[in-house]
Amino acid sequence: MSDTNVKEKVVNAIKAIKNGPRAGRLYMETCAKCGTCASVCPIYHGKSEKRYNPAERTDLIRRIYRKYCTITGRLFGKWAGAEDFNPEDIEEWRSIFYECTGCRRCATYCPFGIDHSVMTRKGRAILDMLGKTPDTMQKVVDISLETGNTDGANDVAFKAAIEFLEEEMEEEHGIPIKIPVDVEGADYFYVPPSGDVLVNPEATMGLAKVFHILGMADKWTMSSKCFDGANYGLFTGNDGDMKKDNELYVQEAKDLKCKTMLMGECGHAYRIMKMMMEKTGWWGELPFKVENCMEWTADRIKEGHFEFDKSKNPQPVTYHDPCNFGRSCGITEDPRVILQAACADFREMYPNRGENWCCGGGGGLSAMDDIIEFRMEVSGVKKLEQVRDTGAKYIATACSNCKRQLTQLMEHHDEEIDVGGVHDMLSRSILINGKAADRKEYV
Amino acid sequence: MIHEETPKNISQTDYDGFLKTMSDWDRTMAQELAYKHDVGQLSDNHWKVIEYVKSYYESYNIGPPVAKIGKTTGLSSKEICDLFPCGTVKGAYRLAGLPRPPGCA
Repeated sequence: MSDTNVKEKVVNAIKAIKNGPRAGRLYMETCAKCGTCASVCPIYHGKSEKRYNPAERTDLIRRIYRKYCTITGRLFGKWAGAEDFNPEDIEEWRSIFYECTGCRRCATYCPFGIDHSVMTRKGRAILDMLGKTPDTMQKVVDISLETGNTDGANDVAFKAAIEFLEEEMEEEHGIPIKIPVDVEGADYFYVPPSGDVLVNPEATMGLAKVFHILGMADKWTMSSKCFDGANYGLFTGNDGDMKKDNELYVQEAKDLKCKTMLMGECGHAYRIMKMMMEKTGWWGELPFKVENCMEWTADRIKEGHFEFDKSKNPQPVTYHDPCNFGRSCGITEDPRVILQAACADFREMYPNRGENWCCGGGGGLSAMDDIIEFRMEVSGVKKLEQVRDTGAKYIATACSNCKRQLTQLMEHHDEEIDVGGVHDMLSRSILINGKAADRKEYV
Repeated sequence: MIHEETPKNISQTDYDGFLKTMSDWDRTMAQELAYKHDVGQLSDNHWKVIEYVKSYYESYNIGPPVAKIGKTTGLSSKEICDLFPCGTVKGAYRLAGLPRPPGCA
């Protein structure tokens, strides 16, 4: 692609903001440069450099917007904060737009409500349009669109893993506990997060135990085609990829004739499913509803269906609110209900819920080991301080991205703190026939 | 010493030591990677894990569930952690020549 073509494409994409949603125009035309966003940004906290300031990042796009879409920008150029696009800047954009975790903490505090994550996604969308999405991210998108999951696993591997989890649960409790697969007509279709069956098995086991105790083992199912709710189109800014990835899961839910799509402990997967399946979203009215498994289990706990042996989880446990649950979807209390029921020593991390600090691996950055130094020494620094302050020995979180980032962060900074899911803790202490699991150690 | 040289085949790995092509894998190379990534001299237990991971991958085109490694090899989670201080994926998967796992997990 020639420089002229690149420039035309980029300028047109930015000009399109003017006729897009009103929020986009607000972000382009209203910023007092007050610095609030920088003061609450996990990246800027980690390293106070100009390039990490959210307002400066958005300015990469805003300057061009001013040049082409505002009278003052056209007339006064640099004097009015306007600047033309330079194709040579693309490589720098490639770094800078992948130095934001899209956590939306800036949007929570900005006096104008400017959500810089939207402009980060716009910047990434422009890069994607030019074929400049970083290779590590593009690979995840490609594998997911090709196989239906980000691990590149097939149905045989999935079924083998499920069989293994059933064996594990039988050993733990001495009775068979089923994980139904491909059952048409089951009420609940469970969509776990990336890697939860293959790498982090305990959350799925926890949910299976919940269904078992309720006598609903035949009311739920997993799918051997759709077992990974992750959707990296959200992170690369490519709406077409995001929709294509989502479509497979919507179709499978229809084919299984489920009443509820029960999303797993994955913030962005839940956010996409929930938002895009609204009546005004991509798919119109759908024959099923979307619920998160933590909401579902917490409600059953509150109804008094379960008993726990908290001595199975004696260590101090804290909860890290994944940004997509805490800030973007308002799911904050359900994980706490589960953890407080299942653990002897639950501790809050401050600030929390909608004001929580990002783990430093959001926006897909967690999958990018090529920027691990940045994740460990810049974007994750604030989270490390927060975790240390709790004195916790286990961080529960409901997001595979967060889990990966936090695990690496603890190892990198020599902290002996385990990281895992929410249903994992439930699985370890919930009583079945009056007895908790004779637990296995998981690596 | 052998591990002070970088054999040609190690250059066929990505920035983090994951093989680009699995058919490039051989035992000498696994040992080289082990030196390079602080795992050191590979013991029988290391090989037990590496060979299991490799054979599982050959059957299912994906690494085994982490918990299954311990169960199949008879090693406790602590023993596996001690064998591969850099983690199961970066340790065993990488030394077995598996491609870098994409995605969040």
